[in-house]
Amino acid sequence: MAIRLSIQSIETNPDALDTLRRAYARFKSVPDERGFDFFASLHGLALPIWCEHGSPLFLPWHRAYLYYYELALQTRLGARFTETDPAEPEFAEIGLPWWDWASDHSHDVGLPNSYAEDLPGGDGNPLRQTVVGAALDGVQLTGIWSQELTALVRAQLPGVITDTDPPVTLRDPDPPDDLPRQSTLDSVIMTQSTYLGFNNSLEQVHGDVHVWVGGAMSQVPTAAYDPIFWSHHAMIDRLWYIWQNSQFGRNPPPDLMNTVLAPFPMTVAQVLDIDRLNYDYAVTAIA
Amino acid sequence: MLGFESDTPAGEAAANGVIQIPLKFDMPAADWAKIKRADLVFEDVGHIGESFEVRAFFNNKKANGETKRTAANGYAGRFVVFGHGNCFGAAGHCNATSSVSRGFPVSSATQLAHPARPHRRILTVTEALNRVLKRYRKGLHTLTLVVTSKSPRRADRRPAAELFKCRRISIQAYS
Repeated sequence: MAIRLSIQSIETNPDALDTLRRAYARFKSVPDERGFDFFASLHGLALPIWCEHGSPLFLPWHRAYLYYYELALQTRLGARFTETDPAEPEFAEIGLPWWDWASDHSHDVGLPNSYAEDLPGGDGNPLRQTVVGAALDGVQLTGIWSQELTALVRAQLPGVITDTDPPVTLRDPDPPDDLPRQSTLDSVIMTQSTYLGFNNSLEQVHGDVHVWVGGAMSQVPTAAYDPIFWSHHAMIDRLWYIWQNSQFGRNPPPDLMNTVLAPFPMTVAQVLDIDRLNYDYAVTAIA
Repeated sequence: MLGFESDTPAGEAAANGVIQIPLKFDMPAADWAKIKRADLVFEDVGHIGESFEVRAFFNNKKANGETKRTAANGYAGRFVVFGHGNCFGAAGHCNATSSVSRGFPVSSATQLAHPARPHRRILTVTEALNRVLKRYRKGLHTLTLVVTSKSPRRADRRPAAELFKCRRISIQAYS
């Protein structure tokens, strides 16, 4: 069972933060479909873009996405979305942190310090940015994009990656107090009385946070390369879980239940109960 | 459902990112009293370009990017479109030849709708419309949309009416 904790809680536990960073550093070094780059690419570039937006599949698709991403972070993912024994037991129970951007703390500091601080040495802070492209001399580094694609991204979306070699993701956040507020969640989102209404309204707030972060996060094709993407979506998934268990919670329409959440081998019905997906949400954990 | 809709096409580029739409809505007080929710519904909103924000104002022809989001200014709400930054494929890759009219897929075989298909956006404006109907004898006469790009760099953000493409805007009120 993976317990997904708030980032703020993890930041109070240096050992937990160190484990998370080492797990991410390892994850980013995997060059196949068990690695970070592959998962980031499913949401955007390189083509095809698989993510579901403006659709009733928004919430279920991203839940499946996070489920397999977390398995990969835990070193429990095999080829073609199969589950295996953990390659590194140290990371086998790690949970994806959620970023409570509606909290008073976030409205004070903005991006979590653990995801924003620049650390020296090696890859520095793997939660801060991601190398996305090959070096200009043709030597493939850890990035997944070709030189041609990197050039196209720079031309079409200036500001999502650096002009350095190799290119890395950028951010340009708005003032912290511009983040969505808990009062908005409480009054507009969490009281929706239909699945389609909830899915639609939560997706709108989700978009607000994407553009608030700016840089790579602000555009669909590059968003998932920013590590904060995953904790933002863990927050979205957590809000769905809370709503599901509230008096207002409803299942998606029956016609949707057997829809496959491509490319993942999972249907809408199979993602509705997070107990069956072997994870849970907690604010904090005390050992 | 009760309501009124306008077939006035939106998306006409305008200076300062402002689009004005003569959207009329009025309702006798007795009928309005039965209304629980009112939505501005934007049909077939494009999202292939860069991300952008739309702010909506009622009966305020002077609204622009500097206008404060207050009830006194007729502010009705906002939404953000999380964009694709234009097409990254070959010619024709992002040409969605048909939009999906049904609310949800009818089978797993049809769930892969074209990712470039335009979206429906819904902005709940119950309180703002309530204020308009109390304040103006003829009700709502103008919807002003202020469009700003949400470029990756804040310094690049600009008024950008051309980013907002929409087939139809309507008001839908629910009793």
